[in-house]
Amino acid sequence: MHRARDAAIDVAAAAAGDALGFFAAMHAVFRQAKEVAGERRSIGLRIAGRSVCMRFAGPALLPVLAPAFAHLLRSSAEPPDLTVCCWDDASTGVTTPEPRVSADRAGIEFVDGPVKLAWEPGQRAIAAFSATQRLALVRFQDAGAVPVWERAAPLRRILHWWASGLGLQLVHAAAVGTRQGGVLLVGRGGSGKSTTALACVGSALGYAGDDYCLLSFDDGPRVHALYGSGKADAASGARLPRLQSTFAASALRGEGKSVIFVEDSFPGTMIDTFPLRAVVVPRIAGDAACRLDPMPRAAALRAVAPSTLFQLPGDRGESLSRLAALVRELPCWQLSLGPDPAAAQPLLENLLRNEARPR
Amino acid sequence: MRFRLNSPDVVQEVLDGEVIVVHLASGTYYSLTGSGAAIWAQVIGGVAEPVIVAGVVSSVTAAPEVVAAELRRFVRELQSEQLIVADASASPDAPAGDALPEAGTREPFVAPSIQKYSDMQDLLLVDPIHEVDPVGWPTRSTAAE
Repeated sequence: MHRARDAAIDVAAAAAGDALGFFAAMHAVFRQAKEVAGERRSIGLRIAGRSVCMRFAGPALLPVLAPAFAHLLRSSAEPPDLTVCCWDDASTGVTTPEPRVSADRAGIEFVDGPVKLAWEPGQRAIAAFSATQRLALVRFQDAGAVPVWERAAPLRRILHWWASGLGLQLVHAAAVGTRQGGVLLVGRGGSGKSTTALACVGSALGYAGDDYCLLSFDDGPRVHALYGSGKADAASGARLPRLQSTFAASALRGEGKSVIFVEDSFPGTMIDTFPLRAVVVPRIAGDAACRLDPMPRAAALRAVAPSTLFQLPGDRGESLSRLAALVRELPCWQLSLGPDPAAAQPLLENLLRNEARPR
Repeated sequence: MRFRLNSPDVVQEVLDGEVIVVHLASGTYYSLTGSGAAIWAQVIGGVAEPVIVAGVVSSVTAAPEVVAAELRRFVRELQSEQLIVADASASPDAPAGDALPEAGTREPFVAPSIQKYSDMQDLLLVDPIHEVDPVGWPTRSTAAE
């Protein structure tokens, strides 16, 4: 423990220069954390056909960050396209330097340049990414204090920065479909995309996420599942009879929502990737019956772009261009959600049958 | 006066004759319709107002003073929403772009329209993103607390 604290003083001095110095200092702290914690664990993930290795210093963060990626676990033998080093100070005993920010300034500090850095003072979390080194660093102050929403969708900014450099797009969206094709469900929080996606669990439509997905564009738009989590508040959970007891039993709760890991409770439900056939924009329609109506492309872009751009700093001009390309390529539909979200599933299946013709 | 896009705070995309403009710092986004899409392309391309007016007038049936008044209102609103900023560096010879209809194919004038959306601002109020300079990012050691 003393060794780590002594080293941290040097690290803080090294970090005082610029973002590159800060990144190097953080990497040094990770190496210290590995030595001090006496644990070296790593998991291999397959994300959009690329190999990602998550390395953990100490045992505390693995059970916090890994469950959302369980469906992507692969052998870690192959050389990674991205390595993500994860640690927390509390369990490893190291002292990671932190940005100095005015106490009255809320929000995320973001640095864009040779390395990308994001500092979240609320969580005391730092995410750092170097494209040239294909290396990301993720530090939390205390693994035990990582909020539920972060556990449901970890490393969003890291994955966004990495994916953007590869021409991929992390998008605030849900997705359901089959190997032959599926739909992207887009819209701001509360629009019904999570409820719609979760209502399809147990149906012929596989589940590729309820909040964030990855898009690729080679050979047409394609979705890649990132997170196996699903979130619902009490009202939404009550409208999902297949999942109601699973949500009720979940110990992972925060901000009025429960989180489940879909594959744990419903094996075989997750689907890793499928070509996209349509963009669907749900909206809560009260007591009216579920229905699908064609939607102008610009309106679909307004539904998907702001909620993605406002959450993910970095490469936002490119992100908007990719999302515009997506809605140019695909038919766009408005899904009016009635009181029974399960009624949306046959509508979506029917839509996919009609859109299954070669494009 | 000439203008340019207020980048990097503002990003934009044109889709089916509608411009989607996102102000990343304020959490607002906009839809420009009517003749707004064509005029927008000229404005952020650094084309001077009189040149834009002349181009629009040559392609629509409206009187020049009507077009000029609408253009000035539109540009004032774009400025007030900080979607564009004055560009002193723009070349005085910047030609009109090709976004306006060809002269000779006169059509009714549809005034440029700006629809503002603020429904995402609450997201940004909770977690505003401050883009800061990479040089000299100040740090502190938690050990010093």
